[in-house]
Amino acid sequence: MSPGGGIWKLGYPSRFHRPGKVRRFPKDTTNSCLLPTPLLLLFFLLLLLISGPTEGQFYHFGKNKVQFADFRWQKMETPHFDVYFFAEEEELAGYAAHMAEQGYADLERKFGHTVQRRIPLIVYSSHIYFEQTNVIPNLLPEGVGGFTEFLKGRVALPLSGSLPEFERVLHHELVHVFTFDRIRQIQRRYGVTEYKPPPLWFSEGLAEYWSGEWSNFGDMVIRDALFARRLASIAQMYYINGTFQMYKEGESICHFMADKYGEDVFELLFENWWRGEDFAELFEIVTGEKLEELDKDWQYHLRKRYLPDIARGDLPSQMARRLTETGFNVKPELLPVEGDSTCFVFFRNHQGYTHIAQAGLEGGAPEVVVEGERSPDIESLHPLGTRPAVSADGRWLAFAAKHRGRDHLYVWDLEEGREAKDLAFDQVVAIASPSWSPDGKELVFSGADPGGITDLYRVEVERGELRALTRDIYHDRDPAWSPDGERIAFSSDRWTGGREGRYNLFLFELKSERILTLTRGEHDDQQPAWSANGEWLAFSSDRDTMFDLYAVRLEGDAERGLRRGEEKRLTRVLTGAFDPVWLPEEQGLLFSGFEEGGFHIYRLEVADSLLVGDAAEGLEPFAEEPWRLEGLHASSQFTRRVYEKKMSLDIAQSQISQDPEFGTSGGIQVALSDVLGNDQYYFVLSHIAGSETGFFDGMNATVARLHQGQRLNVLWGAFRLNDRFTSTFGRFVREKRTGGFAELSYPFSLHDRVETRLSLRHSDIDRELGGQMLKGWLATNFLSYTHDSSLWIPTGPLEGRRYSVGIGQTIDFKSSRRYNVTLFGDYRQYFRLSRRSALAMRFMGRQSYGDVPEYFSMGGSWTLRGYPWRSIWGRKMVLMNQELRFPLLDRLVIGFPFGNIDFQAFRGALFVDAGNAWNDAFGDWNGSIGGGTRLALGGVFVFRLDWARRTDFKSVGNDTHWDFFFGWDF
Amino acid sequence: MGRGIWLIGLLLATACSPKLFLLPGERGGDWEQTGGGIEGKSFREEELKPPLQLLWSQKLNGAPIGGALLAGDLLLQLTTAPTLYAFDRRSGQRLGKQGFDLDACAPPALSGELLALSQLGEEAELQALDRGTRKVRWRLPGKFCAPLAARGDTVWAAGEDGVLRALDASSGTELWQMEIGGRLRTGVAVRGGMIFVGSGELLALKASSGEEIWRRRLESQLRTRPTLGGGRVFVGTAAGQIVALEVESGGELWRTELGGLPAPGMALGAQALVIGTVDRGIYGLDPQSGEQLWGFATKGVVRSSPAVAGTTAYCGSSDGHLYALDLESGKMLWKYRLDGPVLTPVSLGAGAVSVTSEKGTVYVFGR
Repeated sequence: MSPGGGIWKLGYPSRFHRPGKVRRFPKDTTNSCLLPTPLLLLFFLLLLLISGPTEGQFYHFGKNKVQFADFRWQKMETPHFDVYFFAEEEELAGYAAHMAEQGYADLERKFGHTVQRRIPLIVYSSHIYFEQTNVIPNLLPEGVGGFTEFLKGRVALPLSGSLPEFERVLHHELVHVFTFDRIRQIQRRYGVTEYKPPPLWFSEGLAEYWSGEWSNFGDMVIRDALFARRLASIAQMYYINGTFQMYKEGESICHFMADKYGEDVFELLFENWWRGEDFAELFEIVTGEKLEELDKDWQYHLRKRYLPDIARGDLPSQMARRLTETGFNVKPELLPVEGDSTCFVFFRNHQGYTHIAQAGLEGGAPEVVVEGERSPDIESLHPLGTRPAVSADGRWLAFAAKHRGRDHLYVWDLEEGREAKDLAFDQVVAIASPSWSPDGKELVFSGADPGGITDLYRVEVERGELRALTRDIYHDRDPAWSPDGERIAFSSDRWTGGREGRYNLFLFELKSERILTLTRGEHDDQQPAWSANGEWLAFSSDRDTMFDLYAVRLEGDAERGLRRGEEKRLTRVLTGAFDPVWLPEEQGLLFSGFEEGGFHIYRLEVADSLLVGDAAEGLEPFAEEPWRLEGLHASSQFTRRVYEKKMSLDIAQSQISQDPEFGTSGGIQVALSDVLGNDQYYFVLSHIAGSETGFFDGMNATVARLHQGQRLNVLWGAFRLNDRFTSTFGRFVREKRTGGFAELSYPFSLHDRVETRLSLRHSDIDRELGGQMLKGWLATNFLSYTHDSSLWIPTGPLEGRRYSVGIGQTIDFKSSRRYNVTLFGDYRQYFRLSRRSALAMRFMGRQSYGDVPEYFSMGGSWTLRGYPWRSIWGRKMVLMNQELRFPLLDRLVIGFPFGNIDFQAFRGALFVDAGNAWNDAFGDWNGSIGGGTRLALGGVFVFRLDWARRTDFKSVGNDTHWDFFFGWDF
Repeated sequence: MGRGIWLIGLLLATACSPKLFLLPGERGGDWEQTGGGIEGKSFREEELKPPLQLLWSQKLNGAPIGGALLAGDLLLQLTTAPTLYAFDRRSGQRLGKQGFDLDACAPPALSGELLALSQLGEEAELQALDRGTRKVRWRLPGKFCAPLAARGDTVWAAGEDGVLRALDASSGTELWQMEIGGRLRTGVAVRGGMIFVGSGELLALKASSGEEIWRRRLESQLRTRPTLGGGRVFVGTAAGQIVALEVESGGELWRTELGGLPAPGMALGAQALVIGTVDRGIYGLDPQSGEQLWGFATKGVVRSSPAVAGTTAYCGSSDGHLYALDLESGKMLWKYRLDGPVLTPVSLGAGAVSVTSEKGTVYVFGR
């Protein structure tokens, strides 16, 4: 998967934003989208849906991938690709088609390999649309710039504003396609059946290496890692797995390998992939050297290259005063308050959720101004791609935030502490970096239209009237309205170097609507910021290999026009300085600085003597069309057609098992889907060959279809099941069920949804009730409301909230006799105590009425620890769990003669449980206290081991009870 | 009783075992090896003008390791199964097959009753098998994944340990060894009393003693087997360059850059040096000047080493075709759609062209 090519946004050059499968921002912030093997989980959920009385029948947690947009898909066929796009992004699809073919030709040479299949390429014109993809079921964080999935070999990626960056991300993903195909081909050739994937640092490093030139951001990350002594060796790469640092270290190693062994070393590695047991052995076969030697040589090379830099620069903390202490802090914006109490607002991510905070220049704990990412109103603040803006009078705060499938422009009343305006526009999907006009009546921002093209827009705040200022394929970002109101400074790739992804600064003259060129050169200039008097413009630039702050003087008069002076260098940092904001009277600046792998806000003093000089150089008007892309017109040679759904195989598996109690069973599971993943079929066929069942009687079959191409997700299907399971009070019963089911799920937002489910079945249970066999046509329906805003680490949730409430009933369809009515509620809250520890609480209650009520059980690792599994039964139940979660070990490697077994993410827990299930009288509470460990097993399962002692909350028993379980924490 | 069944089974297994090594004819001849003969030039003077007819094709188990070895009426093809197949070159009749326990990584070489084969595994070795008795005559420990070169009584084996060894063919006795350095992947070429081998450098050695005659740095790794002809040695590098050197002195005569990594072997005809590359192209270069005479674009990478019969160049491509090109103009004369990509060399025999697809189908064409 590719790094976040970047948030179309502005601010940090998108190249910074590539931390891999999931942007670790902050590093331990993950979410439920990371639950692995989604297809297996779907099978699992399917079985839950149609199975007997279980928790899963009522509800299941998880965030929602909401289909806000109604895409009209089309397909373009090139020699090697099937490009899928929707109508609004036809222009982008044309570019993508050509970029893909060019990338294919380049990689075919590098790999020396021809991919013997057509490659599906699904393009999205914005990350907001990309997040709605059904190609994979996972939720896609903003840091993901694209991905390659391996079931159907599909590549999906969004345009993030910059077309050259889109091309780079596409190239990155195609490296994964070639890598996978080449390894499969060579392994198949030599009869090696088990796919041996490359280590992540290598596959992502190679994808970076072969998709573009080494960037100054790479230097920044490596140099910082060296100076902070955080550089992970190859042997330690697990520690930074999936992070931006891993991408850059991997890329750096690939550069070093190419220099040392020749560029063809990669081709040779793939050619010999079938020979090595692991990557280290393979490396030795190809190069004759041990991987440890490469590791050592590479680190020495880095030290030799980067450590001398300390003679010409400093870390941000050595040259400026750090104003924030913890968390991730970027994009300062000054609050124009008089006196010593000058404050600034900024994006802050302290423990998982990003919010807008306020802090004083003299220090002190930051205060939350706008809560973010906890509610559907502000689903994301895009902290790396946009910035907040404060009006000149200090009253209004403007910021962009994702809300129900598009970005909204919010105006926040800082005095009242409430939302004052919510602006959304049909013609703009993504919004970034608003900037106020001096009179506080208008905003300018960078916006992407539904086709993905990013331009500058001007909006009159009160009436919401929108006007585009630029209209072309270039990526215009970081607008800053001048204090005199006459012009807008912005960063753009609208110059010849822009084709290589380099940005310069421009001025948009509002009266004449002319664009003037402010800076020019093979570097990346960004984030212009005006001084209060409008005479100086500060900006961040990598013109001297590191991202430093510069300032340029501007003067203008009617006679001589606008003129600029020499650029003054304000910093010499070893890592990077971004987001400059002038302090009053140009006495200094605030900026975001990168150090020790994170961002903080710094205050820089600027000597008066530095800000001197004349503005003598006139500004040139922007030259039209500095670069073009082969695209739409040239793509007319490619065949286009309306997208037609064709189902193809996702997974087919079978197994046979033998159990002395249940007999022999076997089965197959098959899943089919269309290339966009909007429609899916599931077939499950199994057979239980026991002495009690004949061949046909022991047959189980389920077929289901899931439609998720629209907001209302629909699942329906039919089943025929003959199951033997532990029923009420622990007895084995056999139930034969034949029927159908349908489920509707309507998500309101990422966090909330309502679901209803109907199941109609003929049930035949081999048990009597009141002298009658339990047999008949039953209809069961449930209605539930579920919320999930939890943040996860590999073993379970760490912060946020989840709850579900609902009601269900089962009736005898023929006699209209109501069997039961069931009420249920489950509330879970997670209080984060530190970066990796939390207090988790769960409160659960259920009750069932009727002639044949549901019975609920508890006991065991998942519910009431210290009591045997399902040992406590009743028509009513209540359960409470309190659990303290904390880290134990990050990695444990156990050596065996046949090799090492590597365990990662050992976590600990201390808990108190209390609960009971009853029919008529409550009785006494059953309680337990204890502790446990959790071990993430390769992201697939979590092994949980708990020890507990029972308690009646007056005394604690002497017996220790052990529970183990495969599954995530509640 | 059980023991009896076991013995009967053993007898049946013996009776059904292939008779690959009991073939008539082709004994006592000089060595036959894939990859263009001892001089590495994959050239036969005999014309074989297209269009050709498919004489026969046979499905094998596994993908080919190297090209087919054509020796008289015999066609041998080693596969990744790993299995060595033997066919009657004219009729396509399968004469036998022999399976091996360990992975093979280089095509075999055949001389009279001796079959030399390289095997991988924990105890990787080069084995010389007796065709008649199937016994191992001698072994040489090490990994030898480059094609062998053999002539008369001598076998030259380039190892992955960077050492070139000259062996007595009949006993396996080491005659001499030379530390070349690097990983020797491309095999050697022999002409007269000189042998050419290299990795980062190309070395000319005395074939009799291994004594160095000259060495030339190539700027990037050697990726083709040296090709000899006209007093020159031609090599392709990892940088996609074809370099011509004087055989006697090692002086560089010319250097031409092509569009990517070359296929492991080149073919040298009278009018052109033919090279396939990973940029989907087959190129003809003037052996005298290095000037590109022609280029032909296929639709897939070309990793198959070409072969030249008279004035026709034959080359396979990952696009699943065998192409016949006019050696002088590069014009396509004929092509044949195979059942899969071709990554291994095209082989020439008397009146026959053979190619084996990645799907494991061996094709023999003739007129």
